[in-house]
Amino acid sequence: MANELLKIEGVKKHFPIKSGLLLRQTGTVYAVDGISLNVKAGETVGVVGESGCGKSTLGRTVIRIYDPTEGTIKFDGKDVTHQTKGELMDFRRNVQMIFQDPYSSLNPRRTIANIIDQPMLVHNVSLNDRRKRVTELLDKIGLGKWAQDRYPHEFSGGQRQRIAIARAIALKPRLVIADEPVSALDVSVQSQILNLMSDLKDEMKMAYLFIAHDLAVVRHMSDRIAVMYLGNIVELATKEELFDGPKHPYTQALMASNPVPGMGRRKYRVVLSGDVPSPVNPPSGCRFHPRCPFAVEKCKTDRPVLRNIGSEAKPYEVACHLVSSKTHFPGNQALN
Amino acid sequence: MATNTSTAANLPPASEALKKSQPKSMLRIAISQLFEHRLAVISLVVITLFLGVAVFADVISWATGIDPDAQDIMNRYGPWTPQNWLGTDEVGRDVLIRLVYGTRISLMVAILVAISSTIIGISVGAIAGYFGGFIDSFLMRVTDSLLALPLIPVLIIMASVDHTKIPLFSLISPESISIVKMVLVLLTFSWMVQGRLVRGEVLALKEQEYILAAKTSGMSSFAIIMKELLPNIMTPVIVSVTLTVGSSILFEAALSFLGLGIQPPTPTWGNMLNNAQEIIYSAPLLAVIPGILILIIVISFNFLGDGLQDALDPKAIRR
Repeated sequence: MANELLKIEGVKKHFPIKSGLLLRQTGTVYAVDGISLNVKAGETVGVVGESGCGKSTLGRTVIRIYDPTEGTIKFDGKDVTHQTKGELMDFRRNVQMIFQDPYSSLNPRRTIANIIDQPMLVHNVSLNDRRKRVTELLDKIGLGKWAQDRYPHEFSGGQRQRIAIARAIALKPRLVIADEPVSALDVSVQSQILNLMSDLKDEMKMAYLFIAHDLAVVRHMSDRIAVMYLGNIVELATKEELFDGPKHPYTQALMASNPVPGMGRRKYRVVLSGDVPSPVNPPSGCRFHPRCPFAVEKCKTDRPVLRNIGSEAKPYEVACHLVSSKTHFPGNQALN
Repeated sequence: MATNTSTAANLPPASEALKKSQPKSMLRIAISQLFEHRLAVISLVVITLFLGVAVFADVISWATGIDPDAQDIMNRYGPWTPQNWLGTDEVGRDVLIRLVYGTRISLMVAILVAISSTIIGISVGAIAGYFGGFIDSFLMRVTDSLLALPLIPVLIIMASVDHTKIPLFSLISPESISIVKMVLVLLTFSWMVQGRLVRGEVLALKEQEYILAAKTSGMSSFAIIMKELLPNIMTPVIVSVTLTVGSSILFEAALSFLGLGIQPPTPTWGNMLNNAQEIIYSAPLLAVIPGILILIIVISFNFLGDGLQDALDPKAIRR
């Protein structure tokens, strides 16, 4: 496919659990367990899932804070999976990250100008250009020149997150990974940040990998949405199609649990029992089978892969044995 | 630029009060907070006084015309007179001027030890904490083994080493050899505390998102440690420097008192105490005065450390 900006294939990130005096490995956390995803230039791909499903680990692996255990990450056609620090500089320049907690993502001992300036300093932008860009960015995020010599503790959560965004876009990256950028903020402030992010995206032609647990937020921001469960993508489709009729039982349950304003709109409702299993000891077969109301024998043994049930032009991918076509989904059987 | 203004237009303006308020630097806040801590301020004055005395010891000696090493056998255990304010010792040397020079040696040793042990401690702790894994285990086991070494036997061995045989030591003048030795000995036994402290702080901070942000921008590990981590761990480090100065003074005094430290005729508070112990019944003040000075300076450093801790705590800044 053309203009794929980011292409990740079969990416796994496993964390060893070490214990005892000699730090012997006693277990593994299967945080991200085989994810393939691509982001096109200028597109926003949302990633949703419950806490602990590996969303943040995915984001951090893609940006190479963590080294993937397996799989490849390609950026702009170049394999960056095993690049060394020096080779990664080009990737680092083009891919930036916005973090969840604006209180911990800004160094409390550095001034705002210093914080925004830092990625440019690393990438050898000249002093003059840096000064100009800092002023420009401060304007862009609705703070003025007056803010530059202040320290983060003087700003509110929303303002801090705006500063973090300014830092992320300072180098005019082509992809920004946003790791739950609004979940630590007040609802009233969330929309400001989201609108700012949308505006910046249009203006700078960036792509976002937008990680969140709030369905409404993801729906607002994304072109395509990937639903994650226990380290796997269970469903990947365009926003419209996904919200129109989710196919995977987990997506259905996730949407059912999301309160929707209005009355009597819900056609079906899947209520899940139990907790998300531990990623240290994931279930066999389909990761979702112990909680799935429609699970059959096959689900316990065979692991479903993500397959396209839509058209070539408009892919609709889902990882479930029971979903066979675009109109068919297991919820139907239960209802009829 | 039209797009810029349109982007900013949707955002709520910052409050005028915030815009107008003076940007507060951390340093200014810390200083104003330190001045609220009365004991710390008093301690600071006392320490400055002692430092002044230490720096100007030669000037004091020249101005009063008293030589710290000049003996006067006819005037042993002299009383307090206008010439010898605090009397004279067992060989007729002026006690006050010896205390002045003792201040110089004791403070110099203590400050040197505190600074160099902090530098070593920060390097070891930051490397161990930041890189983790094998480097961490290795450095921490070294630290543990040094912590476990019994001090006195090692000191006795070190005191008996013929330092003229050690290559670099021959460059040092014989008068200062015992001082250099003292600093090295105290250093060997004091950097581990700082190292552990720094490692703990680094471990706590390195998962902070601003460190991750620095990593994703491509900053080198060295730059991250220097620019992002260290400024944030300076608070406990500065506090522990002051506390180390205090404990090094005590330590030096104790070792000199045992005869393992700095050797006479170089005066230090510790070996003045040592000299006085045989004559404690005939001239008790010779022991009491250096003792009181040690007490005052150690307490001052501890109070200063206490005050700094409060003043530099970022959580306390918000009030």
